[in-house]
Amino acid sequence: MNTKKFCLLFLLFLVTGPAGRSQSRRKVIINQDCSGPGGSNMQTLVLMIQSRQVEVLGITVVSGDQWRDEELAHTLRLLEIIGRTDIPVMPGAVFPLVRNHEESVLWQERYGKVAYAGAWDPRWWHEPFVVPTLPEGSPTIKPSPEDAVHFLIRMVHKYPHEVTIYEGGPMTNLALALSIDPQFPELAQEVVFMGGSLNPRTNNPEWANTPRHEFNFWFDPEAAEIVLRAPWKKIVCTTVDISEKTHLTPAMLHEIEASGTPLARYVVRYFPTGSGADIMWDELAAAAWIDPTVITKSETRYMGVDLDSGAGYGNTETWGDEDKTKIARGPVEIQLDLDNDKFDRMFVKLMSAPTPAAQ
Amino acid sequence: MKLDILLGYAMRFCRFFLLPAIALLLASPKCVGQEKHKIIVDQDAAGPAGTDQQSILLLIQSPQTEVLGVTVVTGDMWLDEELAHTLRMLELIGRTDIPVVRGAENPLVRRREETLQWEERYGTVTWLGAWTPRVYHAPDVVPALREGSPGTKPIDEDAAHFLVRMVRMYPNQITIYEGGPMTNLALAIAIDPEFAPLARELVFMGGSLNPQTSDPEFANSPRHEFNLWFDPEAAHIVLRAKWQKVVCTPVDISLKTEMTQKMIDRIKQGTSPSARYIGQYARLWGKGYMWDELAAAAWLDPSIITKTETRLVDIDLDRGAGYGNLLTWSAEGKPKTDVRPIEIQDDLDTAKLYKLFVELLSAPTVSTGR
Repeated sequence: MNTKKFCLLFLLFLVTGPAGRSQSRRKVIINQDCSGPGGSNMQTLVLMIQSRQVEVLGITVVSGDQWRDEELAHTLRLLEIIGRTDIPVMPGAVFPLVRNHEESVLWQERYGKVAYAGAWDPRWWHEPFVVPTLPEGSPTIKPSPEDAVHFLIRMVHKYPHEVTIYEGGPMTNLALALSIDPQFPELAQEVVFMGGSLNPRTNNPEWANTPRHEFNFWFDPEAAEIVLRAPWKKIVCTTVDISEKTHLTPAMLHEIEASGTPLARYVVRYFPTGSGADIMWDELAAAAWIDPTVITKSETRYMGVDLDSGAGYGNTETWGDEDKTKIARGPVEIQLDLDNDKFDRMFVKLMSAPTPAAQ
Repeated sequence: MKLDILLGYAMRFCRFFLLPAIALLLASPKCVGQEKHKIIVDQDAAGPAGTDQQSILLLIQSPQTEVLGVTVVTGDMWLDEELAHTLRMLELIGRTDIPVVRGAENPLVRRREETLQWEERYGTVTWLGAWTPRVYHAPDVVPALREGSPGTKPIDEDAAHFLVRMVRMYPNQITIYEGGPMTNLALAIAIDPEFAPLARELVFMGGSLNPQTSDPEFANSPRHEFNLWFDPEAAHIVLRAKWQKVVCTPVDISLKTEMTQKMIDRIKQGTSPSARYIGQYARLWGKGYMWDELAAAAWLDPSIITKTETRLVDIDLDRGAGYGNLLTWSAEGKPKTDVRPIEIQDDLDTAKLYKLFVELLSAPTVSTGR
């Protein structure tokens, strides 16, 4: 490049730079099992929406922690509360591809009870299309008439190589999108997800006896396997191992509460109780995408899901370069450690900030 | 002036009422006042001719049916090649009004590389469809078509969404005909849990129970059949769904049928576009089993089937030797899982099938159903 050309380009950058920056917010579609009110799933939606670097194209909802219709209601209500009803919410899959509730009950009789079964958990079980009364009030807005899968495909074609797919729940919607459109993975910029478990240092009974078991994979193992072996340009994974190192403390909640915004009141009021409720599973995956310096250590491995219907059905499988399988898979960047202080400050700051207006 | 106005009325009457009525009478004399049965044909539409295209043709050629669309899926060939064969067939018979819809290029979970490894461990599979080594080419390659390349294109909607949109547009009216792997139907069900119950019924060729044959494809593996084997997870999803009715044409009854050169020759005598297409491109393939034609013909005329039974079914999804095999139970042996009953065809009147086959494929093209 000669000097003249460089100067011209530099001038052009100076002129369009500031305006261009606001236009080039990083595009993301949040695919989430949006249980609520409050808690990890809702806080993740908000984290993305609150960041001024991020443009949330839409929220695609999938059954997981709760049933889809209940999750849709919580999501819509949250958007009303924070005044961002411009963000479209799309209904996704109600059921996993292959695994179903009835068979998972029989599987648990044979192989042992899982500590947590999301929408299928006997502690709060109800029928799939029932929406119990919402403590935060019912939404008046409705989900988009377009289904999640159609939306996902349409968006990556509209903005090729620009859209990050954030996945915080079971991977059913993504598996459907790439089964319908084989171009989907290569047209997306990357996929960032919370899921899988390697070898967490914990005495939490959910992992002490089953270190390779994690709910998002377990709930729809076939979908997770379909997604993990697809030709994405980049995959970043937040596992149980690193998530377990995060905690939303009472001090952080106090700080957020002090800001007095409708969002802050919502987060504090509906903060779930019970053991493990303070773990910031999905928030970490979102925060690390917004600011990668939150992560201090990561490694690359190959990852799959055990699809044999026995004891290990749905478990995380990993390999290194030395022992990888004959059939090629794309490498997955797995986060191992974080700067807790940075993460906590970022979370409190975003949760306390005024919500950016629709653009 | 007055005469002019009167003439105007008369002409308008002719244009809007009389002419369309006459056209309708001429086009489909049998069907006046009677609704045609709506059907979507989901097919691994290999071609030219052959069991896949011939079953599509049977359903299109019947004056009783309205084919809302042909949704295509990889199976006997890759999707792109099948789309080309289907579009070209419709051009040759003059039915380019029927939408051809792009479906899944790959099964949900099963992949070719994994299948090759599986064969090393459990033995070679006779027919691998698009993956068969002696005919293998990359998915996006469309070899030159003997019948010529199509000028028409698939519609701009994917098969799963087309299927969902149609059953929502015509609830309880649409028969889903499945002649290939069930990937597209599984995707439709996963997107919309109401898809299966909103269809009128599912009619499919697939599965194998205990066929009486020395054909090596089934002699050592009587529970193995290509359509269900190629995408076992999809078949499981579809067979577990809450259809109002499911009718199955398994290998067992298909093996009792045979397309002969004599039948091709009789069709050849016809001068209709369909007869010319069959005359030019139909070949005797192996033993001439009429897999998908039987499923289509039995739906058009149920009296072709002389014996049926009801069983509960599922697919073996364990990745071992039986991966993709059909599992069946009678009511007494039913497992605790939500397996569902289907109607299985056991025996048929072959003469009736062959007669219908020759008649419909020789017949003139039915005018557009709309």
